[in-house]
Amino acid sequence: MDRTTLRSRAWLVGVAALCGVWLVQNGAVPRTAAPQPSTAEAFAAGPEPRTGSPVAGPLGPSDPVRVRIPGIRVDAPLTGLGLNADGSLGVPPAENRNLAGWFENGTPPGTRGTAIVAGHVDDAEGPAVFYSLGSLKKGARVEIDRRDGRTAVFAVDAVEVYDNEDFPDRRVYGPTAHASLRLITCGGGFSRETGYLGNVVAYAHLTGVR
Amino acid sequence: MRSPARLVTGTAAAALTAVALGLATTPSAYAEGAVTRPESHAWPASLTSPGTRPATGAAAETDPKPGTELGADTEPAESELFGTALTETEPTETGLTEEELPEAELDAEAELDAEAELSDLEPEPGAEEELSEAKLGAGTRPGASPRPEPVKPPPGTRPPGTKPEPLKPPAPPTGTWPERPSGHVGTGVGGSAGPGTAQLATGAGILGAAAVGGAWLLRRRRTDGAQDG
Repeated sequence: MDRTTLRSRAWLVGVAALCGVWLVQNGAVPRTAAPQPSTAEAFAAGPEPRTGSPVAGPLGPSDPVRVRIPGIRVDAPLTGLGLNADGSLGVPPAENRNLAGWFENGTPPGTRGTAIVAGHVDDAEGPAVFYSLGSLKKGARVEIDRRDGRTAVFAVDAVEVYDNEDFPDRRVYGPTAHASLRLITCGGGFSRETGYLGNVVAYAHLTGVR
Repeated sequence: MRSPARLVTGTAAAALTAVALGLATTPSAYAEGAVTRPESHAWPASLTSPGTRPATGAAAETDPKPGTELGADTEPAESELFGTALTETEPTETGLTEEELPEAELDAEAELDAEAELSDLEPEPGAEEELSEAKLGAGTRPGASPRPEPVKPPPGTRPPGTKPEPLKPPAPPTGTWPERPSGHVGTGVGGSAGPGTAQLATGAGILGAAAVGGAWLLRRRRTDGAQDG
């Protein structure tokens, strides 16, 4: 083997070693947790549509098929969710990172009442569909494509985070007089022993229909 | 020796007893109803004629129409005897109501049949409409099987003579939830919060390969240097 070949292979090994060092160093550092909402995004009074934001009349019932949140680059299909044995909301299958779910025994998005959409913040490998839900701002647009061909357009009224122990069932799941939407994912800190300590909930109301 | 007066009295008593027995053996559903029908009803004048009323059991049994009306449960022999007549008169007995009676162009006997049926069902305000709704048609003739008890509607639900509205299924409840979730949602496993295990594994693998390659290169260079020297 001549000197030129040896030299080129030495360079190759050196570059590979540097890449390996960088990967080990980067992987060893704990990642930043999913973004969490600030107190400025919470409701000032109660879960009501923001003042000045239009409130559209409710649609008839039709199953949702897709959710889009342009502000955090979410564009995902929706699957039906049920209830677990303990009464908590089921979750979408973890195999598909880009999949959200809606509570199919409740109110379909766009009809009068509270529709519930949930998605994973992450899976075992990394961020999932609602990873950035906590970074939503008031007024952000949420679109739900429905099976009847119409798109229900919602505006975010608030984004709040709750501890698991103090989850406000009625505030989140309770009925409303207009067409409302709740987007839910995990948040509120992470513990290696118990997992996520809370939930991030984005509140929205129907502003229009396309 | 008995006196003529007592003889006459005894004969009259015997005759009365015979008549009473004859009435007692008459099936109760026959003409008892017709005889004891409520006086408040205005019946056709023809029905009040003594000649058309089956006042005795013998008269009733020789009349085919009452057998038609009364059916097999009380007099099986009659139902067999008047089987043809049963078939012919079935539409009449299924459709008759008290309101239709005065308008029906029936002969005296047919009217008598209808009267017996109505009195047997105890016509009350509103009950005659239930009769027409009770589907007393083919296969459910009153005489062929135990007659269903007429269901009396609550008073004032429907004015007499109006058609009943079809039953509608109850409207689904509005504004109520059949069920709703409770508690927090488990939508995360922490893959984005912990260290990058995949990156760690990949980096370690590449670093190991680089170390092996570097060692091989150093050895090869040393070997080449010894050969050159």
